[in-house]
Amino acid sequence: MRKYPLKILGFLIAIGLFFGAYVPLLQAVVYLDIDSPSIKKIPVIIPNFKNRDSAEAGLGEAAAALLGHDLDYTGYFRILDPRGYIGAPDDLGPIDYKAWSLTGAEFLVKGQYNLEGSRLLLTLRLFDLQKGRQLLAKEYDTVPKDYKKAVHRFADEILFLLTGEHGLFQTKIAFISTNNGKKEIYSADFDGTNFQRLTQFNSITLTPRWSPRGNEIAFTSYKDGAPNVYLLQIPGLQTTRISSRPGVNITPAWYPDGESLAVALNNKGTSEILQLNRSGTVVQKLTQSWGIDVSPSWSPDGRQMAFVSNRSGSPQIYILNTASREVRRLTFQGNYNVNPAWSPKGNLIAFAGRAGGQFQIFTISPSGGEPQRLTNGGNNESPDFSPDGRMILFSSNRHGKSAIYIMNSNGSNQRRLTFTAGEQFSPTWCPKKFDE
Amino acid sequence: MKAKNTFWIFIFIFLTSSLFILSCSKKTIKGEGEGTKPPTTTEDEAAARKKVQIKESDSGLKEKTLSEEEARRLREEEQRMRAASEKARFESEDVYFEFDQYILSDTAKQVLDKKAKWLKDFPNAKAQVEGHCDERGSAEYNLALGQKRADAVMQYLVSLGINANRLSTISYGKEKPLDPGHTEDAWSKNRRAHMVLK
Repeated sequence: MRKYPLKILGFLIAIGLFFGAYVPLLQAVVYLDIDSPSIKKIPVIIPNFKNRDSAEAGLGEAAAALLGHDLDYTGYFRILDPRGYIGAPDDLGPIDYKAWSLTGAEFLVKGQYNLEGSRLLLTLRLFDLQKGRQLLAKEYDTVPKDYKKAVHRFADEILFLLTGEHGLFQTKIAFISTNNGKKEIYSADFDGTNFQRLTQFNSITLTPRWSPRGNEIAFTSYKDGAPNVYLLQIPGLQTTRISSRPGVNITPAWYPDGESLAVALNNKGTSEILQLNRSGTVVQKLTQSWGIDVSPSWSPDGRQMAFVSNRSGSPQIYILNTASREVRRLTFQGNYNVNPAWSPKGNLIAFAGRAGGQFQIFTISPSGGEPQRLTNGGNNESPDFSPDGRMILFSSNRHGKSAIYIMNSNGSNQRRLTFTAGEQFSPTWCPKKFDE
Repeated sequence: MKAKNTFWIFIFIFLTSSLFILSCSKKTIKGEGEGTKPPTTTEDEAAARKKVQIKESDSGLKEKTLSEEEARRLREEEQRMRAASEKARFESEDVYFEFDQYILSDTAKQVLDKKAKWLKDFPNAKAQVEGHCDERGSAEYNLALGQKRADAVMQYLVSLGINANRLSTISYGKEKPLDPGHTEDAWSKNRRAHMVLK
């Protein structure tokens, strides 16, 4: 696959030498500090990929558009119109860096492809226009229908080279949708495309939570009459019931190793969060109260668990230390804070809190302090972090019906992902890449 | 002794065979197409009369059964209607709650006092308490809150002497609002415990 590995290696070594031997290699190539509070978006220009012959002419246009779509999705790039270039944008000759710079772009992606029988050979190159050099070149040997995979992979390469972080272009999400009138579980690609229904229980199905290994979704459903907790195999879609204790069995949350889950039970006035193994047997009791304890979310190391409790009179977020059994209150602002989601990086907890009569997404440090408000307008609920902790999925009714939205974890770049019939709620991000 | 026995055997054979011949000849006649004619012999007339009599008494029986059935049907209809109205009387009135609360108000207790009396009047009835919430807040928290509301109702009914075995609970959280509106008026209708007979 790699046709120019030596060039890249040479480039990395050159950069490394430039910054001095004490600087780690990867840090040296980071162009964009995505942790800085205000990010200036990188302008990139992507002319249509050029075919060496005339077959599958539309593919070059679609693939170039998809790459732009992927980079735009990250929130770190601004995609410029290639018609701003004075020459022929898809010309395969040598790169005129100066002419391309006049478009305002800092980076250029050029692609060419040809079809050999059923094979698609796609070569993609990234150029730094300011420095006048090629940064990255990859040749993908695939079939025409899989061109998207190659483009997603190249987008990931670009992102990793420029930010030091991998992208989400090969991940999936799941959520509840009422497409057929009932609340069922659906899945989609990271960008909301490839929408698929996973269940048809014709009941009320809620809170899907994708397992750390990506091969199961835990959820609550009334499909057998009462709210019980089930596991759904991915991709087989077989369903196993793991908790049907009296009262409500709700809000499953995977332990980081994927071998157990925290589940909230409420019955006869008592509320508890239990840790159950994958067959539903109790591992340990985590919390117990006469009020309401629900919505657990584990810290990435599994030593702490955030959850919602009304033990102080209104729903607030608490943190349990599983070793010492100490519980401390995390949120003190507002009288209704729910849906905690612990970032996979460990440094943030996102939650939905009521502010001015509507729900908004906030983030707060697990050690406490001032919450940062990320959303405005409509009700914004059910946050869930991307596997890299860089983005937050959530549901919002800011445009009328509830749909799935996405934003960067600092609240920038808020965008709608689902445009389908019915309403969508309760998104969950699959922590695993699907190509693996 | 032997000759006497032989004589009686002959007589027996004669009689049985003549009977056989008679019945055969009658069949033959019927088979020739006269069987469809109304019987003309006195014997046949008597048989026909007998049949008619049986028919008449049959229809009499039937009429009697029909009127009994009708009465039973009316009785059952009345019982059903009474049961339906009793069911409606029991199920119609809901118990309402404040936002994010599961404490029973005095009004709620008065409604439940009536329901407890009803359950004592119909000692075989079993009921399920449904806990419901308004649309505000997380679906998850509201599922637990709905359960709390149903539990509060059940505990109160048990405290009034209703056997816990006759009661069950289920929470629907905010999943089955009675009023789909988004106003304070709709919300107040949706924060409820509803009882259904099982």
